[in-house]
Amino acid sequence: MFTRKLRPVTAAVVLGVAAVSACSAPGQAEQPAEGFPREIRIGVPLDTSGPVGPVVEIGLSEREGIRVAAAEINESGLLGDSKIVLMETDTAANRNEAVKAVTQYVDKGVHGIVGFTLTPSFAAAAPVAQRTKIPVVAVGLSGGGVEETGDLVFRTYPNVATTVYPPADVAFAKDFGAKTAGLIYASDNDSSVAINKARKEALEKAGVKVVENVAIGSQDTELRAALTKLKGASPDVVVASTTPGQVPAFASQAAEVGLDSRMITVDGTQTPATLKAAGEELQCAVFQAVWSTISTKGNNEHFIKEFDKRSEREPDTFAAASYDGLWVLATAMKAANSTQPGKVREALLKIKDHQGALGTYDYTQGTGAPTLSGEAMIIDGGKAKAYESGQSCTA
Amino acid sequence: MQQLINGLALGSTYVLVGVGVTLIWGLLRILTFVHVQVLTWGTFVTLWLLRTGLPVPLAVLAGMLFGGVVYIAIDATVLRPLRSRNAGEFSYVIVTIGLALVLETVLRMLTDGSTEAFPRDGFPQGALRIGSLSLPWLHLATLAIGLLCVAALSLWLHRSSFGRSLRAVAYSRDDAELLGINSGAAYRVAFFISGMITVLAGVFIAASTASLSYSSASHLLLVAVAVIILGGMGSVAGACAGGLILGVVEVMAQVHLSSELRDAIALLFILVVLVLRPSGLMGRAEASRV
Repeated sequence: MFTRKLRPVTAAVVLGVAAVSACSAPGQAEQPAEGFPREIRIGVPLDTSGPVGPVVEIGLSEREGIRVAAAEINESGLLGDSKIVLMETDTAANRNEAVKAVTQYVDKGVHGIVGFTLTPSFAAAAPVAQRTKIPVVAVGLSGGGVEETGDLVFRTYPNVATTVYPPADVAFAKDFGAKTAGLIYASDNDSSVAINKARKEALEKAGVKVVENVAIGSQDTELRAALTKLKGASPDVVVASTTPGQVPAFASQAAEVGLDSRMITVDGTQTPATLKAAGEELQCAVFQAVWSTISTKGNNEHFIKEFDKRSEREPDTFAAASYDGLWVLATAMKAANSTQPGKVREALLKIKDHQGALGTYDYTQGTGAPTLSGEAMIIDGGKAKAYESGQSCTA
Repeated sequence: MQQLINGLALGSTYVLVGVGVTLIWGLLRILTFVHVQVLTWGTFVTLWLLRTGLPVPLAVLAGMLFGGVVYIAIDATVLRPLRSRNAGEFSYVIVTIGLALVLETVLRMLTDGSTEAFPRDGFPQGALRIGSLSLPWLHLATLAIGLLCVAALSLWLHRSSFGRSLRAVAYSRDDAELLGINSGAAYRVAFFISGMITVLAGVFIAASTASLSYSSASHLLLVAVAVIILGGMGSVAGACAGGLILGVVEVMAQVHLSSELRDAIALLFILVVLVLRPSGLMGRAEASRV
């Protein structure tokens, strides 16, 4: 286990040293007018260590997704004889480390940055990249305030509070004939608060009355009091903006207190660990997933096959978003036939039908955010399945 | 009424946590901040054994034994040397905080920091319905086991010769040894029983939330402190009362005020109780010569 934990650090150091020593002129990016340098250096700042275990797991998944994409791109000859060289940095869930990493990338002349596990690190470091004209593709951020950082900043993971959950909730509510909704969210988690607010507004706008809006803590696993309060309001649907880790407790305790409203949960409900922990209590729960193993959108099937072939980890949503991040940037560089930031940006904004693991990417709206909306799913018989509008389910 | 039941249900898990810790903190007056790590490690052992297909009672028993043995090992290697040097309370705090951090870090590395699904098969599921009220079977079982532990511990401490020896050691180790009591054995038994009950609490909490992680019990350290202070240091029955009251206060604060203020209100309540009754609800007032 120690070696497993030390491996990322060692690999990052080795790759970093190798990349630096390989640079012919450290300190300035090679920016030929046309074509590519021999090595296209990509900064990869990710949280692959740190005090919070789940964050580390996300960072490791993201790194693996980027590595798989780099290997595939280099083998494919997409960029001619040029090779992508990853400069991996462990930013350890620390914004100062993230700023330090980007500053070093500037000194070492990277041609792009693909990474960022946590929003605070991104918010501190991405402006540095923007100021120094380095294109950034953020991969693991699901909240707002990403593409707004600057015209060279793009994202792969959609903003779930605007493009994923609210429209799906309205569609689910319409399908179920719901007139009232009860909401539950983690009030000490900015993402949960933003998502809950957006879902509430969307439901109310669609004519669904929100009869109860209950706050819990993001670390709470004893939810009976909150669920009893929801039960008292007798909502037709319960919309849970909890963390995915709270879904099993939410489902099992809802059954215990007799809350039998239809459940709309969050992305992450489909993970094997969550399904196993929640058991039968999640039957008929629906949710919108940005990525899943059963999705046939984009080139997801190819991604899963490649990931299984090249990695010992299980593919997940973070690996998929990161894999897409490097592919999107490389595709733009190929289209621009250049690594010059302005040309890469222009090429990124012209990407319209790029097939990625999360679906079909379209950046032509000019915001730096792709038009991805995820996929509706339902839990049936202990498994996550694609949900079709009007589909019946026996609880 | 349902929220009162929810409070008692939450309190039932606090009872087990409080009973487990009261022997060490309350009776022997040893401040060990490693208690939650014993709980978490023992619960993980139970989880790993459940995954091998071991029946629930055997897996739980093995986890409890593991917790008891680990606590004895901690006492033998870390706490006994401090006792033999008559180290002050501050030394116990520092040493056990350090040990807790080590144990937590090792467990985080072993589990990759992930939250594991804790199987509920084999544990009581569903709820007893009485009209519109719902009483979760798991918490009824937790409360029953908690009350059983309280009764058994109280009987053992007050009616058995070994229990009386333990209380004598708690009162004065030197005096107890002069009377021929093996204080080392008393400490070992206390740590063993405390470790076992603590792991039992951890297992029921994990079954209730259907999940387990290296840090999922970290909030229980504060709960344990609150329960034994509220109930009265060293009082097993007080730990029971303290656990139930704390559960009800937390739930009522969450429902009627704010989830964010829940812990603050619970602690404020404890503060008020201590102002009115400094030795806790069921603790005995102590007099000292000055």
